[in-house]
Amino acid sequence: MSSNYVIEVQNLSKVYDIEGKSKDLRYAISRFFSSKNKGIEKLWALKNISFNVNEGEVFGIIGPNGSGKSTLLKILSKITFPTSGKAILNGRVSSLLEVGTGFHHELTGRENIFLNGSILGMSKKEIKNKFDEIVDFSGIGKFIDTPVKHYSSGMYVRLAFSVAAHLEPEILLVDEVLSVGDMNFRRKSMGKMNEVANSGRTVILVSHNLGIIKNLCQNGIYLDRGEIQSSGNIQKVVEDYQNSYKPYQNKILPNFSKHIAVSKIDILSITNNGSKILSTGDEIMIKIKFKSLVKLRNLLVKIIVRDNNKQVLFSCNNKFYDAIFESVPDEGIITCHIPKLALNTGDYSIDLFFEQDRIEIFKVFEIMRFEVFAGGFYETAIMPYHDRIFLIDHDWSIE
Amino acid sequence: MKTIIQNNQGLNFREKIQELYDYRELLWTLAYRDFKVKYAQTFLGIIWGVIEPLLTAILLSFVFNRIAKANTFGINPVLFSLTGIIAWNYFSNVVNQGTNSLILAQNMIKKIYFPRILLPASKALAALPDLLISILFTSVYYLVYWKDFSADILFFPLFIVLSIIAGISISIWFSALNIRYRDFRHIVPFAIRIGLFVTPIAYTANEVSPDLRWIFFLNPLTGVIEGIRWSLFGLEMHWKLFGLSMFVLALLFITGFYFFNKVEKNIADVI
Repeated sequence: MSSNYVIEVQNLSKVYDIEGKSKDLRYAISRFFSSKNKGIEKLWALKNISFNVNEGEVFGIIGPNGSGKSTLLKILSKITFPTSGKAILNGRVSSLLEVGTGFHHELTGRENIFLNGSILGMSKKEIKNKFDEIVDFSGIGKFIDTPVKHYSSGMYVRLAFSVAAHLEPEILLVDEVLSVGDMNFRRKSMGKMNEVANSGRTVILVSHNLGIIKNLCQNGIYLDRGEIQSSGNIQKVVEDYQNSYKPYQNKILPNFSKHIAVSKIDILSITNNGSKILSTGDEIMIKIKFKSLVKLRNLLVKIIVRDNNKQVLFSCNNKFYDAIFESVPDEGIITCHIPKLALNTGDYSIDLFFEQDRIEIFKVFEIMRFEVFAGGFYETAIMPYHDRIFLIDHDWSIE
Repeated sequence: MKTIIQNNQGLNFREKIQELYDYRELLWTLAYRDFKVKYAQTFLGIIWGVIEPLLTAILLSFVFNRIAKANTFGINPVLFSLTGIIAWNYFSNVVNQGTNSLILAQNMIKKIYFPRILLPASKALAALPDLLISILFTSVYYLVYWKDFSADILFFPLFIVLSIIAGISISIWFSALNIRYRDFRHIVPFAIRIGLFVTPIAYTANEVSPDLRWIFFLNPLTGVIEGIRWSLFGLEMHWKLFGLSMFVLALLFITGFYFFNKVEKNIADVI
């Protein structure tokens, strides 16, 4: 059976053995002497995945956290191996799972371009030919011979992305690296990505940003819990994903007190074009649709955010900004705007309170749940470990 | 270029070698990085490649020759120790660095595919300039203190090559073990400290009683360093025991590659 697909994936599965311990010598020795393999659990990260990618196609992979997207890319880039099934790749492959892999802070920008380039699979000659272009694109200019430890994080990421952007493999695997740098650079990166997409190269793109996916891809798959839920035309796949994605349970909505009724709450990501899929670092809006049941004035709105263990994390309150709503329409939408969502990935809930003239008129605990996905809070898009709840902006220096 | 990805894809030996050849530029780049970083922002730079072995040689000759009265057969004690130190220092540097090379590069390993063996191998390559410097320095010392050399000196480079192979073999073993059991991060520096004393650097294997001598030669570096002494100073050589050393070395080299290959397969999942 011959075909002209560039990438053929056939019944690919990956199973992880979850062992309690594995990294210490004592465990290995005791296991050696006991005959049974106790306590090994199996986790199917991917189950019977099959799809084909045509030459020159940009192929999107979407799905919630832990759906197997990254595992799939890791298998295709040979970082890890599948448990069963196979994938056939016709062409030179480069993968871009993170920018700046192998960068060393003691080396200069110039040296890091060569280092990173050859780690990504470019030959020295190729790098030399593209060198000026890379430096130009990054905007690093005269700092090219300065050790990168003296760079600002923005410069660092720009240089790293520029190297990656100048890869010219026949097949490119990309994981969520477009959300780096400031707005300006991001636009530039998108342009470069478009250029790559239109240059006849085959690209597999994993992203949470559905806007980017819809823009760049023709076909794709939607993965959940390791299985393909939907595949084919990207518009349809994205639609299926959005329809099946239930970010929160609205069981207790609508909800009302004697004074006010709340019919709907939406938490939307402005960064992600108004999608309900929220990522760390996104600009978000909480929209509360309400109806006044009596004439209201001096309305105080308080939102308390809790984590999965019901621990209170922070609150938003219009009192903080001396913005208590003096007049309140009969019905409308209250919007709370958060410029940069600072929560790590995970599940969260919110409590909603209204007060009028310091008297509580509405109080519902856990009125909404929401989930936060990995995102570009930091320009590097690096995420802290899951037990760190908050991300904060900070900078570093050494003297 | 066609790639087929499936379970147990294990490349055969020839494909492995071909792959290493294809990645040779990366090996150079990684080695260059390691070398560059080692002396970044140091004042003396590569001169450390001379100071370190010289000070160690002075210290060892003081302990072993002055205090413990080990026989150096009329050879200047510092020169005597230096000739052992050059091989030992290279070996221990490579093993120390190589053991942690995979762990320290875990970010890279999880994000990019390349033959993982390049990581310990680049450490062996990056330590070569230091080795060269210390050999040059020792040659000067040798020419000043030793007039009486024979044609056996032509074998000296061979023993240096053997110490390089020993460094690579052991660091491949330890780097792979270190992935499975982080205990080796503690074991290796300790083992190297012991190795400094049980390898005949400032003394010869003749100091050890003949019945137990073979135990010392299970250490490949014993064979290598005794060989260096034979080629430079014409000291007595236990050829049978040297053969034992080389047999152990060959065994470590082959099994090291085999074991590394096994660990490499799912390294990104377990690291």
